[in-house]
Amino acid sequence: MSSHLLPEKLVNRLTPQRRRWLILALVGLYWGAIYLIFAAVFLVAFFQIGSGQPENWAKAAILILAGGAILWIGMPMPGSTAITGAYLPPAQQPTLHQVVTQVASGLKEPVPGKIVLVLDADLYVTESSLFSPWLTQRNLIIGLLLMQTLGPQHIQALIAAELSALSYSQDRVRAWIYRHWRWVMFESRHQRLLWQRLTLFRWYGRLLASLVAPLIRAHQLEADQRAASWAGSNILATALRSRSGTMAAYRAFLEHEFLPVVNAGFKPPILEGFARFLNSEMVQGAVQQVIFSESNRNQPALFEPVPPLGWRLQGIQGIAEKMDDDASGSALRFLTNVQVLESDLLRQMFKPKVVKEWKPIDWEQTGVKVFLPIWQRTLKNYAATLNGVLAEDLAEFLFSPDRLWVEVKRMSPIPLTKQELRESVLRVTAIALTIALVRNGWQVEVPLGQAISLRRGEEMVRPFELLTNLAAGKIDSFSWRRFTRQAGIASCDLGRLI
Amino acid sequence: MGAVFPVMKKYFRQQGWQTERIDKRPALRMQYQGKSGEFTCYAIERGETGQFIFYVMYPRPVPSDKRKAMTEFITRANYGLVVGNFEMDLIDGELRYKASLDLEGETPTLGLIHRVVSACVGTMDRYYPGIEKVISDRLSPADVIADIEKS
Repeated sequence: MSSHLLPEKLVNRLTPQRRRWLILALVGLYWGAIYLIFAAVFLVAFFQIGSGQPENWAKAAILILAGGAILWIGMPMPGSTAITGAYLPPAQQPTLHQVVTQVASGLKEPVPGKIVLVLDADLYVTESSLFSPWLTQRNLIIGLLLMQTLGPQHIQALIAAELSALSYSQDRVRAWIYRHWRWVMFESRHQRLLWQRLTLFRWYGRLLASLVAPLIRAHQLEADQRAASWAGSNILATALRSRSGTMAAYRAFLEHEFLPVVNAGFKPPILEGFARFLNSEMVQGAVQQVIFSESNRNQPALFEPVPPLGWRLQGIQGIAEKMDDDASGSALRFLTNVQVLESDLLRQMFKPKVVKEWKPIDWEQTGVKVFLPIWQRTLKNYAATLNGVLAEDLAEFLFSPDRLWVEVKRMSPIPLTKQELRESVLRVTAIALTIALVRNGWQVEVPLGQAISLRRGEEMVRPFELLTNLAAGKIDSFSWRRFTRQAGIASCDLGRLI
Repeated sequence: MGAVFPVMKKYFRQQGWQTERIDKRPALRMQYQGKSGEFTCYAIERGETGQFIFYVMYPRPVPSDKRKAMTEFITRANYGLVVGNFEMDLIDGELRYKASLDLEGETPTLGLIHRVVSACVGTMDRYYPGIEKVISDRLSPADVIADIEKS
């Protein structure tokens, strides 16, 4: 999906009434076409039976089956339930179920049939099908890391907003349109059946999307207002902001902290790690920045059914202020056996056989056991270009690191910008410096969400920061030489460390 | 991966280019046969805000004794170019033409991608014979540029 079939300006000019009629016509067109094909197949089958020759009955039966199959595969089904997570039955997690039931009854919404815990920082409600588009149930998908970060009231406010967003399922026409839209969008993206690759089907999807997305956004804003009047607009606003920041932090945590550790065959404590990651000053600053830019984004992406955070916050302003007493608590109190759940989720996310082989590790040990071996492997690739470069000469080397520069370019599968090349050269040099310091008795530390540091007694250096300053001329070569002498690495050949 | 990669993939598919995805990155490599030569091209999406960069690579590094003349040639060529520019790495003589889009959350379209790609391949194709002449020492960079820009 790359562009609107109907220009957005034109869609915006349509009155809501006309837009609704157009959507109904489009949905009707789709169903008309499906039923027409079915009727044609059925008619041919009827004539086969009508011919009175028993040998044609088998053909007729095949045609009727084919007609039924066309009708079935063309029928929009609610989303699939294939979510990687741990199903939480009421007997195992009574408190969480009680809370969810309380929120649902407060809003007069159906209680989700299933609660699934995922290793994520999001929360949403889906509809899944029980063999047909008419028998559906709601599923609450809830992220363990979001529960840890948000307070009980905030989690309840988010559940309320997500449950309210599905309130259309009580209005049959709207439910049918939304379900149809979701299905068409999903199928045009995945094209699981041959006929869905037809340009006509893709055009239909785009046309429908450009009309339905604004409607769904408006519906979400209404749902937010309902949730805010139940949970308190101040509480829902905080919850929406926190979710946006926590989700961004989670992606960074996963990529930079968690995955390198598990890929090295270790099992770190996730909840503890994520809490420490979020508490670091650097991450807090980045999270605030994400929240700020998301709150100020006022243009939804193409076909995006969720309104931008800024719209949602504005929409619930001043609806109902309630006392927010969540300042210090965590919604994890709704769960029992959190440690067991954490292990269960890891087994769900990765293969149980793989998880079984992981060795437990504390986050403090990851510097030596995980990151140092990774850096040693990286340095091995560039050792030849650093041959003869002494640690004390790094100021001069960084002035024209030609051999390393060319090697970084050669190793990169894509052309790099000057900035990317500079950063890569600095990264390799900082790795070499780190290994040189470690070999001279410095202890490496990789604090969660913070810059890598090395310690020797009371002394502490941050090699990546140090080299950035050296390259920028903030440290002169005289001071640098003095530092390398004091650190015991002055005559260390950076190309001969491995 | 941001919103640009699917659009650029679609653009090249529609144009009938044979592309190759690089290391699961939002980047494509392809060959372009121009009137004056064949070039390797790269289409890359950078950052989450949606930057699109297109590179057309000159096939060989510029020899070290010709880099000074080539610097003059690309400076003269770049002056006045509207979309994109030539750039050369003086360390290894890599020469390429580059153009980019910074969409910063705006919707990428096939038309925008087309303008960047056609400017890149068109300009490299136009100036390629001139680059060869500068490398083979046949004419001065000023004369070569004058010839190209007259035509």
